[in-house]
Amino acid sequence: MKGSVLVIGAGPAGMRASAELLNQGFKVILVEEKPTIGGKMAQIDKMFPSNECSTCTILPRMLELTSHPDMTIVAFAEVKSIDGEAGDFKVKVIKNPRYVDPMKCTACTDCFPVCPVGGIPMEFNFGRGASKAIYFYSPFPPRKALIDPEKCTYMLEGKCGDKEVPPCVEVCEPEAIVFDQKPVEVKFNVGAVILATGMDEMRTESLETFGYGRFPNVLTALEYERLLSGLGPTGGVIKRDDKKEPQSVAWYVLNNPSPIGFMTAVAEAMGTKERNPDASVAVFFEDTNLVREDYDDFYKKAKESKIDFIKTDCISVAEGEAGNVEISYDKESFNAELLVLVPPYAPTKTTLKLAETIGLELDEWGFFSRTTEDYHPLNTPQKGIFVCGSAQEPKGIDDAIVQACSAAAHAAALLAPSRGTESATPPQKDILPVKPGDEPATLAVICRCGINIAGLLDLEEVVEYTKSLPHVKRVELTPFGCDGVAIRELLKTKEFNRLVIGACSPKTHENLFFLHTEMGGLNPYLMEIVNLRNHCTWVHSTDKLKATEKAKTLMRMGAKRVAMLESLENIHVPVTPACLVIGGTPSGISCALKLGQAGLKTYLVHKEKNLGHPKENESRIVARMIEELDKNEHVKIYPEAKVGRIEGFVGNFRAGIDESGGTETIDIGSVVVATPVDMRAESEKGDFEKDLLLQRDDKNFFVGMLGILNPLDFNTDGVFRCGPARKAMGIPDAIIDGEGAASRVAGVISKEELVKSPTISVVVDEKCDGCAYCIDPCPAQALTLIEYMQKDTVKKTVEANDAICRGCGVCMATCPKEGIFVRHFRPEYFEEMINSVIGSE
Amino acid sequence: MRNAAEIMDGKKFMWDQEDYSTEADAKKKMGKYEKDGFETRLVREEGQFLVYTRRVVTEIILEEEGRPL
Repeated sequence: MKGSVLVIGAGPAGMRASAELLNQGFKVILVEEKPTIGGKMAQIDKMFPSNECSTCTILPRMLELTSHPDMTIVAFAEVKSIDGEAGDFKVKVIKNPRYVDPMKCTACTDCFPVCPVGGIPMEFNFGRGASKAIYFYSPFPPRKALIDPEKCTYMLEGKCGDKEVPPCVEVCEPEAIVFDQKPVEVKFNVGAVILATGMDEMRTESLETFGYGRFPNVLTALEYERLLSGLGPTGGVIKRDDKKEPQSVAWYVLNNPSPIGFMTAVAEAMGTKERNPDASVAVFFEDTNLVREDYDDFYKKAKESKIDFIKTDCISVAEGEAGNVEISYDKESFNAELLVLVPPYAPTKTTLKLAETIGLELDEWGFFSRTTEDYHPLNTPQKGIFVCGSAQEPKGIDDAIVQACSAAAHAAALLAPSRGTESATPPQKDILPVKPGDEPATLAVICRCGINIAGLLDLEEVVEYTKSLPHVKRVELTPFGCDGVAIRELLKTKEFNRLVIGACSPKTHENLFFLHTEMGGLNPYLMEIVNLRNHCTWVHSTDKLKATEKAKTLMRMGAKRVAMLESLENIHVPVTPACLVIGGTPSGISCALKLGQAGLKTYLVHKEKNLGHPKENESRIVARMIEELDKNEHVKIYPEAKVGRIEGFVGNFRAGIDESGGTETIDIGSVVVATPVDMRAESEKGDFEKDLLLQRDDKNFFVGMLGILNPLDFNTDGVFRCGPARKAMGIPDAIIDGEGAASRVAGVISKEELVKSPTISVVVDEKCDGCAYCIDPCPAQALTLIEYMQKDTVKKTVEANDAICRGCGVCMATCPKEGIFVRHFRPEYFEEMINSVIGSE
Repeated sequence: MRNAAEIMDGKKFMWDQEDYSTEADAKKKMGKYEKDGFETRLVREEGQFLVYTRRVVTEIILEEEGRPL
């Protein structure tokens, strides 16, 4: 049985399924038909209903995936065949030629300006924006150039203008260009397959009826997303192709059985209002199809933003003056300078091809069938092949994420005996020893970030200035610092014991730069990121002079701080390989079963005599799961029991289970809450809720972690929620939810130890007098006030729990005596940084 | 140089700042501390016996009302 999984489709579902499996010790091969990963999520501006920036959310996840040693991404490729059986599939993949060797391309972009063929409409932007014949498909990874063979004059005519040797070849230092590259067949042997091929906008003739393709200013919703996106062809400014910024925009949601269409229109209308509050904005729709309360809340919020929502059976359109669109509806009219059509959703071409390749049945809409109750919704008739996300049916990103976790849990359960068998051995670390007091020798790497930084700063001036800063031995300008090439190669010379990177936000890139720094042989805590992009070029894009001055100041502060930093080592916390599931609901049952099938010790506690609700047990899936659960040797069920107190932290909890015969204490590494809402009356609140810092909303559901990619997580590490604990849902979705939570749990308890950042609080006992001002504000409850004896006097100090401290710094800000600080963020660092600005060094 | 704080059995203990020349002296003092509700630990270092103590404060009373400036 193989310990690796093939995931097809690198949108949010495919990426998440991959990440879950990697986290559980499986090797993953991720195949994507486009040259870059991210799917539709990479093309949209903001996600509903949270209104989070899609790029900011997905980019760090992409970079983490691309840097994982057990991850193989095969982009610009398609699956040719899948043979074999569950546990041992043989897969053939055809890699399309890029005409650029991705192993050699450093993404330097030197080839772009010398290419004489320009003005090529960009597919990623649906024809808007222009590229050269050699180009990046999108701003996302893998950031490797490719050549359009139908546009490159050398490939078409054998000559580039009058040159026998094309200029791109002349300037390409790593000799990456390969004009005679052919499609290559690669073979993989995997234990399971996950289909995450997503969805597309349906391009039917009805779009033409509403002006699409006939009038210049009629777009589809996905095309409009590119106009809203800061990384789109207009830099996030809404413009028509004639450069006019529209003052009236309308959406028409075509007959769309899914709520996703209407929600897309709502989100885009809100994005338009955010940019131009005076714009006249209208959404025409037949039905909202809203099935979720949070969608309804988002819609209500939109209605407060002076957006007109007009329910109508149909509209008709005519070309108006100056390229406008005259919309007629219910004997009224609306003059739109831009009309956005929201078509129904269709399966992707990859889905249709795969269905044929693998021999899977599709439903009437062309999605992988949601099967009858005899089958699990994410199972396919072929054992070992699972489906998730919008390939199953159109859905929002958070629902796709839950399904991805569930599909990963299925694959992990199937391949449990092979977990970890194909994981790469961690490379031997050759870290330069750096002791306190060693003379700092700083390497400064400044990232051009395409035009994001280079286009808006006088980088030559910043580079020259940085060279003059104390301890800076070398300054290197790099096209994209996040590819890590310059960082790793220069650090490997061992000439530098500090690194300051002038690039983008640590919020999105810190983990990645940590990894590159460590791979270069430097302790990652001797690295400092200066946010030139967000703090200079993005916010001061109209004033290059001042932005450049600010960039110099920030580099000065960064160089000052990095010289003071100390090497730190990660904290390793042992893990108890067991889980407590609270609630015998379908979610609790499916969670416990999936964990048991994965060979992980699980305790399922529920109040009733029998598992599930009588009505739920009528569901054949639930009844079958209960039967399987009874037989699973890894799951212990506690009927008519209640969870009492839970103490501890991620990887090491201890819980009391109250039964009629007394209380039993169990040790677990993780906890799942799957209790039904009707069992959570105020009077019945379990002690564990307070112990685990869980909160409920006004509808009595548990409040989870913020962020659309975290639907199953609580803010308390190692504790997860699913099913009726988080929202009302039907049985099939509740089962998927429970299995998704099982995947989240397995990511914790399938490991022998957890690795934790050392940036946590340290008490300075000489200064701490136990005033206790820090104790209550600590959001992680990581601090304990203790007394001790000293020369026959009772003294007080504070104890910080390394395992649960999150390093948030609230204690440091609260302490009036400098008696506690967060490692890597000592007050003296900030003092010196400020001094370097105000000139009192 | 003695460590003022030591993590033992996953808990933070503080040195009582005394060097005891015999184990009996140290244990006598430990007994006294334990009577007052302190947890204690004995550490032998450079021929001397050191006593570490801790007692968790369950009721916290702030010195002043509100957050200090």
